[in-house]
Amino acid sequence: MFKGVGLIFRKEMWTAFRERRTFFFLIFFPLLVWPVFTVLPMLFVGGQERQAQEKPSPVVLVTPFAVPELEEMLRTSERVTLVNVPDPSSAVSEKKASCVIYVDSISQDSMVLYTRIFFDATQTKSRVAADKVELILSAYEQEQVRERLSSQGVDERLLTAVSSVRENAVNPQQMFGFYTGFVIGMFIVMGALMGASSIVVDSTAGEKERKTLELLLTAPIPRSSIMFGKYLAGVTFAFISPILTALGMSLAASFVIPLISQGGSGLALTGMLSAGKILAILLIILLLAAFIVALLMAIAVRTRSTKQAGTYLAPLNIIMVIPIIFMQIIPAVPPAWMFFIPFLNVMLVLRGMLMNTLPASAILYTLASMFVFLMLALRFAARAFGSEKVLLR
Amino acid sequence: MAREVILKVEGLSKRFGQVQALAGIGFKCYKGELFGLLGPNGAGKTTTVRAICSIIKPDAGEIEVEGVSVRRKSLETLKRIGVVLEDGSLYDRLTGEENMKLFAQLHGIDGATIDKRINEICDTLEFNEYRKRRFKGLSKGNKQKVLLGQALVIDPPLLILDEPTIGLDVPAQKVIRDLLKKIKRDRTILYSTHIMAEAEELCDRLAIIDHGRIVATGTVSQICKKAGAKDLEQAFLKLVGRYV
Repeated sequence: MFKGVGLIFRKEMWTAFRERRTFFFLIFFPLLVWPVFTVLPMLFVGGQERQAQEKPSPVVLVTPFAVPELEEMLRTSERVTLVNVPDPSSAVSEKKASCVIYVDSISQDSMVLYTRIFFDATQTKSRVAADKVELILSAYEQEQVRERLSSQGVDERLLTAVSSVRENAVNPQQMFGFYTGFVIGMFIVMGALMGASSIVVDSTAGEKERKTLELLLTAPIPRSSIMFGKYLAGVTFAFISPILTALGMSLAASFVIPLISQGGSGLALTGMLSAGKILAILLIILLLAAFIVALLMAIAVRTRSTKQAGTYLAPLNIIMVIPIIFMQIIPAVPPAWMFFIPFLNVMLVLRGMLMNTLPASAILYTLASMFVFLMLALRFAARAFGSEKVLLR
Repeated sequence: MAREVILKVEGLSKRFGQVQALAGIGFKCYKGELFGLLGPNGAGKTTTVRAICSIIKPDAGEIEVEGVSVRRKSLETLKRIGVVLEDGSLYDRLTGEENMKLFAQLHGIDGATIDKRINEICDTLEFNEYRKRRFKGLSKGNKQKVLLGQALVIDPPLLILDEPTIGLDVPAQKVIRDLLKKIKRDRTILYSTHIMAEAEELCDRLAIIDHGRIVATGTVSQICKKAGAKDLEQAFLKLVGRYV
């Protein structure tokens, strides 16, 4: 039996590696394309934000009457530069200014200045400029209030009943884990799916389509050997692909995050995980790979062609996107039942490990749940391989 | 002296939903014989071949290869069978030689024997020039040689060929027929076809199959005599009830 499994495994690996698309799906995409397409936008957006924060933003002040103190404050601020444009209404859209401050009116007693900040929320530079102007206006307001209270001989502390400072319960490393954990989890799940799809579809539906499976069934080895040989080849691909993806993402993050976080805050993935955590992650990825391949195999072997298999497997991609949508609103320490949902549990475990908030029981629940789902999927696949109706369809 | 039976099929039946594909088929193939299974498309030839090769399980009946029951010991019987299936193919990304080697390994043959046999087969099939080429790039005729090669490399007592010349051009058909004449001397061949001329030229004995039943068995002359026909084609049409 094992010899048969080995021969089929070797045949599948050998034929897969002679296919150019294997290189693309297994090496090129995980190591290069995905990290580049994930990290480059981060670099671009981060770079734009940093540039907008560092450089004074060009702003226009439009006022029907003189507001010398405000004008002086804007002029002396290092955050903004006052510019003059012939048509302020089109200044933002034509990118001549990042935002426009309209002083619309002043109250009859000259106490309240009514202003508007006109900006484009879709533009990073404009958004950042609006934030800066808001801070300047706030400082201007405080200055005005302080002067007024002082002129009346009132202690300004009369208006300060509470002074508060926001303090984040999670440290920067945990914040990094919260935001990146689900992205990495998503890429690991997608990587396993993408890595396995090609070889699984080719070795099941593809063999049926090319009429090689029937001949293979005449070999004097059990059908279970044929199935497990193909299955092991799929698992190998499904295991390697997400690891290469994680490696690619980690390397890209190590290089790029220091660039966008001004000199580097040491928050890159490298060094964040202990050896024990890495082992646990590898075990979970292996179970995930085994589960995904069994699922793919059970579905693909029931189809007649690679095209039909592609159509049948497409919903799996959508099913995997659903946990990604919910990841943003799931708290750092999720309820235990969530660790029983396949795909979601993998993303939660990865995020939890990066945040250092994962209870040991969660890993146990995830492993147990993955194992049960794996057994069910394998049974589903084995039934298909045992059925002449399915194999000769 | 009784001739040695290599393949025995008895009362073989198989139903696919509403279709009775086989309805109690029975025949014997003797050692060193090229036995033809002749029938129109859909008669049950491929279903019979699939049942012998354990690809499908029959609803009833017995099949024995060299006295070993297919029902009870299918893997044992498969070790004794080399097969070329109708419309069958091999792995596009493996060379002709690698394809033969794979099937030999699956039959548990050792490396040295495999190499020796592949060399012999490539000589016999006049395939040496193409043996290192990938299956995908071969002509249809050469592909058929590789298919024949993977069946022969295991040196089986029983060779099953299901429509091996279908889709081939006339010269390629001739090459395959000549090869069969060359290799038929020392092995038993079950040859399924719907081409009268091939059956007449190659087969020592044959069975005519129609609607899942054997309607006649014997040599070409015996069948012609039984049907009261002047040639096999006329006999065939009479026996399957389509003679006008």
